[in-house]
Amino acid sequence: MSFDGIVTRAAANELSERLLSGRITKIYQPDKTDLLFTVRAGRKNYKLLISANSSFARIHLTEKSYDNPQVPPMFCMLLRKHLEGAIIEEIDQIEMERIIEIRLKNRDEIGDETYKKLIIEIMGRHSNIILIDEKTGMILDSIKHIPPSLNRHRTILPGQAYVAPPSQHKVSPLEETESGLVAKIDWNAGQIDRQLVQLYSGISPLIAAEITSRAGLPTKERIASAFFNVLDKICRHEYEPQMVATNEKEYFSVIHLTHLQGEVRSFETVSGLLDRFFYGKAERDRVKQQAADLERFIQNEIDKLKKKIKKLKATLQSTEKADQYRIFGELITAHMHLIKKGDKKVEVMNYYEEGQPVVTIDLDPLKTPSANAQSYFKKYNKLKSSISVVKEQIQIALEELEYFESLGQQMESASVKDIAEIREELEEQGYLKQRLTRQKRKAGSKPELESYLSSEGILIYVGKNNKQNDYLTHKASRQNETWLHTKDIPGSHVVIKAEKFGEKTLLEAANLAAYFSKARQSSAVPVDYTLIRHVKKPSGAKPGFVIYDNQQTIYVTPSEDLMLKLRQK
Amino acid sequence: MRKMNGEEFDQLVSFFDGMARTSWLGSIHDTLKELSGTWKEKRVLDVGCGTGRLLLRGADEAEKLTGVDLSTEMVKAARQNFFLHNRSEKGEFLVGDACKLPFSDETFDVSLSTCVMFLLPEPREGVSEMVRVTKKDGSLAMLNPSLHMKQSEAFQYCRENGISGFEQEAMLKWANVSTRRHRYSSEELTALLNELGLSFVRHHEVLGGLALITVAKK
Repeated sequence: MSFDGIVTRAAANELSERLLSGRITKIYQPDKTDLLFTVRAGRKNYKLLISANSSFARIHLTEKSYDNPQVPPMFCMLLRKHLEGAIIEEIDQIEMERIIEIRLKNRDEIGDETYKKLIIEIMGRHSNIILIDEKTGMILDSIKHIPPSLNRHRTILPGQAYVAPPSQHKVSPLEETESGLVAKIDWNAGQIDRQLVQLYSGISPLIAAEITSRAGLPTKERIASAFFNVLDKICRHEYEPQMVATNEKEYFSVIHLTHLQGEVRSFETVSGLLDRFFYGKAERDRVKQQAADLERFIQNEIDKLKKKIKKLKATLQSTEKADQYRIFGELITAHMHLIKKGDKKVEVMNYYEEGQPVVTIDLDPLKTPSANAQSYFKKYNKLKSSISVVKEQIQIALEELEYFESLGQQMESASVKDIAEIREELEEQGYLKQRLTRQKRKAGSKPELESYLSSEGILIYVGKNNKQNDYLTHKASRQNETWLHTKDIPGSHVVIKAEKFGEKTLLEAANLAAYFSKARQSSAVPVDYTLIRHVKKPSGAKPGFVIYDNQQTIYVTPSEDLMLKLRQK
Repeated sequence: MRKMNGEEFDQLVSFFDGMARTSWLGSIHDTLKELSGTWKEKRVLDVGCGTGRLLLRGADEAEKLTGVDLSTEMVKAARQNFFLHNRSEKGEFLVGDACKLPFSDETFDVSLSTCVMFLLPEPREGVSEMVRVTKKDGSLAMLNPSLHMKQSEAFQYCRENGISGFEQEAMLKWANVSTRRHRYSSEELTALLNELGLSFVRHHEVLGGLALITVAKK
């Protein structure tokens, strides 16, 4: 995974092919670090996503939709002022670095032509999007501000002069000659791939590893031929966008990666690749940040409940000793004549057991013999009566555990909105304190359900949290529609919104149910399906809990690609 | 595992006929028929048909009902049963081995088998024979005991559902035999059927999960 100089080159090339002389019609900022432009070019609308996210910085065209905040952030409003209606004049990569400059022409309030530059710096945590005025070279604003206290050399604040990031003093690999390459590399030092990364701009460790792997032996000729083999194509703008999923990780690249073993998926365009690769990743990251406290809370509850169940089970086990106490009581009563007040223990014959062995019974010296017998009986009765209570407690704890485990699963695939609903649900149940600042949601407002369209054209709804599940199963569905859920595994409720449908729809819906469950990574996941009329909610049950019968089971292997294919935009 | 021969079943005709008429197996037969899809103008095969009670349920709609059983007496009883119900022209009953069905490939639209496959020493052979004689797009339905099937569990189930007398006896016997033969999880069945080239494998639990109806498409 690396948005390196080569990918940047491919992205810049693709963007300029499509967007040049297009007009920016709309500007949104769905997130603190993300910008979404609608560009009209060649009589088509494109959505351009620019992100300065600290782990997922990128720029590409996107087909996905993003939720925008109610009130646009400051930077977004500033961009609208300067860039709405602007024409894209140029899209350039700076050398082979991960920097893209977009030159824009617009008219100001008076009607004079002005030129602005949007500079996108993709540099991991320090990624930034900066708008500068071309004439003065001044920064108008940036998505992240860097005050002098953070960086003396490169202050990024409105009104400051724009200073380019310090040069890496690397050579552009596109202008390299074979003799230059051979001269620059220290052939005795080894680690050719690391040397390549350090010598040339735009070459990431992934590309370097690919070059050395293609070369096989690290001889001068082989390395040079592999190097130019890779670079020639990039020089001619011939890219092979593809994603490789190995067992540990997913990688993407614009050259064919031969050194990785795994499933390869090719894409038509660089944007297609990036859109697919980053889809959900940035969103998940954002949800993780916002919901870290919630996730921690749920995990804590699960741990607490597990501990509680363990303790209760230990208590239950100790009640097995109850009979022993009763026998002690009986034996003391029978051998009362052997005991005086003040004795610490007594040895008696246990005629309840075969062979009548001698047992030693501990006594409380402060109590009379009969009081001692009574205290053993008391212990016995206490334990006896605790059994039913403990069993009940275990049952309650198990139910609660199941509930929290299902919440934990829901957090996995939740969007920001889903998280809010989960939070609300926990507040309603009294697990979390009600937040006073939050404005009350309108009574009777319906949760919004995620909808999918089967390849037979039938609508399928998926509940992503308990609120949605309850609403979907008990309110929004008809008696004869089909309901699906993973068998004995926490997961989403899924409903096929039709009474008649084919086998394909059923399998696809089952696939969704398996995907939105704890068994997402497993293969052959059992999914139960039955009619809504057979699904019931016991009174007083926790949200999302149902019982059902008349079910049939099918086995499916969840697939993310299928989920994306069926998803409705 | 010993392979059973036809004579062993000859003495059990009345027992199996009685079993097929119990309320619990009766309702399982109903469910199985429903799950196997419509029988209207279809050719239906029942492997190990016993006295033909299952096939009799669809005598009005199906085009042709065929039963195969290892036991001569059982087949006789089945013919008689159809005759008594005035359905002789619909039913055809043959003596035959489930692992070597006397039919050519792709003959039937629906192939059924209740309480049979688990008895075979090699259930796989029996199932693949059923697959062979089933037409493309035809369906296949089976009833097998699940992993939970045990005499103690069956007894528990009978007590909870007020099953007693002969009905209880029949179920306990079935439970007892199945612990000594094969029991399946739905997962294993899915894998087996998929391996044999069937698709869209569905399972339906009956008797509170003690037995499993499995339906698949060829």
